Amino acid sequence: MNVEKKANIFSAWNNLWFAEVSAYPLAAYRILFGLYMVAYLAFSIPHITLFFSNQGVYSPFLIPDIAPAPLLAYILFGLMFLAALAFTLGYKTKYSAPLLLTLYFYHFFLNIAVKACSYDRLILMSLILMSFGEIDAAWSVKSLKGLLGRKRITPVEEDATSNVTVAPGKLDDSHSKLNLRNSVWSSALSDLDSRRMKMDDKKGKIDGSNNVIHIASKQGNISIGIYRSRKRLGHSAAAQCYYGGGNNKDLHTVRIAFPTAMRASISLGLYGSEVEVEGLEHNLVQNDSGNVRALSDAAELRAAQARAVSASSINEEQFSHTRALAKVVNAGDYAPATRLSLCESQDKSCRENEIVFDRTQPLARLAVPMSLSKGTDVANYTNARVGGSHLAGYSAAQAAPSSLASWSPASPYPAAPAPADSAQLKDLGNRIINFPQILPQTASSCFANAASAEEAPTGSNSISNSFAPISSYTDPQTQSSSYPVFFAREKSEPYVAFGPKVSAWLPRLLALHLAIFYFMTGLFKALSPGWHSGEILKGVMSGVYASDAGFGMLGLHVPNFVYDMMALSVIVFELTCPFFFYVRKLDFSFAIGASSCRIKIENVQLYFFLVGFLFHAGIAIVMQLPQFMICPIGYVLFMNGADVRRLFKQITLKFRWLLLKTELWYE
Amino acid sequence: MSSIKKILLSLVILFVLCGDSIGLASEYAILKAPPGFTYNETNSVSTLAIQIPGMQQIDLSLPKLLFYFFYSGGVFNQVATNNIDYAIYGLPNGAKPGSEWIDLGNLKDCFPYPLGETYIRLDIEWHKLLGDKVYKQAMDNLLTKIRVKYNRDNPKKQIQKVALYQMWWPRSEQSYTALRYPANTHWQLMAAEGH
Repeated sequence: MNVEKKANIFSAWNNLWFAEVSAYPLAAYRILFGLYMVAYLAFSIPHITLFFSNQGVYSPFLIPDIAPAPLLAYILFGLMFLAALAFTLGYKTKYSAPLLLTLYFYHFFLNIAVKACSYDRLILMSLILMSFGEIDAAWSVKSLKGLLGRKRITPVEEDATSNVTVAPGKLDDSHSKLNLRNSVWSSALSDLDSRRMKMDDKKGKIDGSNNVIHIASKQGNISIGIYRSRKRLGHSAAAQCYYGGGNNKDLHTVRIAFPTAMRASISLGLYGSEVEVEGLEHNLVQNDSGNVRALSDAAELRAAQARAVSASSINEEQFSHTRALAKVVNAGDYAPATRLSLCESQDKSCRENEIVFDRTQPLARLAVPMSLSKGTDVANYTNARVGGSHLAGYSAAQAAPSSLASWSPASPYPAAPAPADSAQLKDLGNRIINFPQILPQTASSCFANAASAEEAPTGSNSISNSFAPISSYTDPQTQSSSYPVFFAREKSEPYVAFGPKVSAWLPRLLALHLAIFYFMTGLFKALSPGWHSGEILKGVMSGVYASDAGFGMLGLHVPNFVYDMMALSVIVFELTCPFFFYVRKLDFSFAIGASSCRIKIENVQLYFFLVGFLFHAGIAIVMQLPQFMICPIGYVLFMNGADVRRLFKQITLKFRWLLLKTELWYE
Repeated sequence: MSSIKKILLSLVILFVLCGDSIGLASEYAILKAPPGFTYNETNSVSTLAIQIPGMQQIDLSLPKLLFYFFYSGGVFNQVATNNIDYAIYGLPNGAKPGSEWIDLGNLKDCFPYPLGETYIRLDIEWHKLLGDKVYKQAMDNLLTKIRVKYNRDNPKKQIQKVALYQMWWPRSEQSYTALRYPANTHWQLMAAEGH
């Protein structure tokens, strides 16, 4: 073998095992595995003396008969239990994982190994390997500390912006001054012809206090779309949606709802009025001259908060709880928010906070930017809603033309590309400025779009740009506006590039080991004559592992071929799942005579996961062996980071009432 | 990641993959599926021999325990014809030779598991791998612990010896014990202290 071939092999090995991959699958596995261990160990708690002390009945394997006195046995077991909890939470896993491994080894050889069960070997293998790896890069106490700003995990990537694109509504020079307060941007945005600025990641992150574009116009209305592409999500996602104003003198109510668990930074720009509700980390306020600055200290924060409270019916204590800040600036001719209410209780019926504007003046334009501040789980963003009773007052004549959909698409991942050249920019800008009134649905879709921008598309390793343009309102007096910056995801950037990363060896090796385990058991069954008929299943259901459920199923007297098919299905599943666990999408075509047939199946691995889960659930119910649920736990290792993260979000959305408690814990 | 760490982790990866591969390939040999694969084991070593025509035989060996750590094999690969249960008997203290042993009725006190787990715990399969002597020693130790526990729990009914019996009777799809009656039930002494 020549040197070049050797180098290629080493390179391939290196890429296979030591490339950086998303930390989410491994983090999910750590949590699920930890919970499994906690449950597994919990079953032994009533019997510690019997199982693990010198007063019990145990069978040591490979070690001397060294069971301690009951008190020490309780201490050792308790220590193992605590280590399992710490492991689950990702708390000091550098120590908790080896400690758990050591104590599990001890208990294993004292009285667990005697079972010689494969699930115990899977546990041991997982523990051994995880003791070598970095398992707390995500969804751990350590990463939580990072989110809270105490210790950053990936400081460079944290808020790096790769591109900022500005699409002005008019391309003449008669108006225009763009001032980007962030020094990384400002030099590149000296005039409006600068449409796309490449951000230099190495210059540092963009902090919240400077993340504002200030626009001054010499003319009446300008419209501008500002797009920001970010390297990594999770800290200051934002969306800007606009409502067209009408001449309706009726009461206008705009209702903005967001989950209580969300630390939201909401800026509500009214015509001539500005209300800002700021979040935990982005304590921005806008003063009367339109400048934006960070609140300097806690006292100022409280003062601003008090002013906000005076302008609303908000419960101060709860307002404080969410660390929100409402400030009314430049009230002008129009009333600011008249009611800002937060959930009075944490029961399920009150899941969202509301900001309600009751206005007696025509609403010229309402900018409803929302941004999530640091530490916010962006999953909650999908629940952000904008709506209001005034929307019903729109007439068809006021509706925006249908072509509006081309830049504010309903699809979460619009086919419309980012404005890349001047023609596109001009076209986009003209369309924006030609539509002074924007459909309420546009605002909703804008939000949906923004929420979806946090999501990774299924079945793709890359995502398209997701833009939501900002259309400015212009204060007729000052001719100036300020905007928080919106984000969009960079085109073609693999989702796995977002978020924390770990070396690939651990998740891949664990997944491969599990896949081989499945294949091995499947192969054994395929080669064993006993498994070539359904009698084996009937035997299992009525044998030493039988449960009442097993006998109940036998009592149904279903035909034998059903059991035959079930046995065959088990073999087929175990032989094929190791491959299909890795397959996310099947798309192939073949020719049939003169015609061709194309088969396209999405989410292939999910179907196999489901079958596997049902298979092991069946084992748990029929054979009283829930311990084999260790296998489905490992399925997350086959998923990519985006899918795991989305799954996690969906689960957390289902359990938002639990997040409320978590919120308190964050504090 | 440093090169040294990568090398060490590569060794771990290779170790796991080799163990899995040998375990997987051994299934062919153990189940005697294709020609060319032979599985042999001694008291301490498991060896998979692969004979490819025209090539020298390749012997892949692992310590026996390590092999079984990786070897998942198949479970429930035979249709059981019988159902089983266990009983623990004890010889009371001071009993004369020929006295009757009594049923201690404490199986669940000593093995508070579902019957399936009790079965594999009393089968002590991994101890068997280490040879008959180790197996017998393990069973003796187990019985001693059962006796000590019983005497501690029943200070007024001390016993001097313990015996473990396995019972079996024909399997039924009606219920686990549907066919368990004296004429159908067979007994076998699994282990007894001083036996």
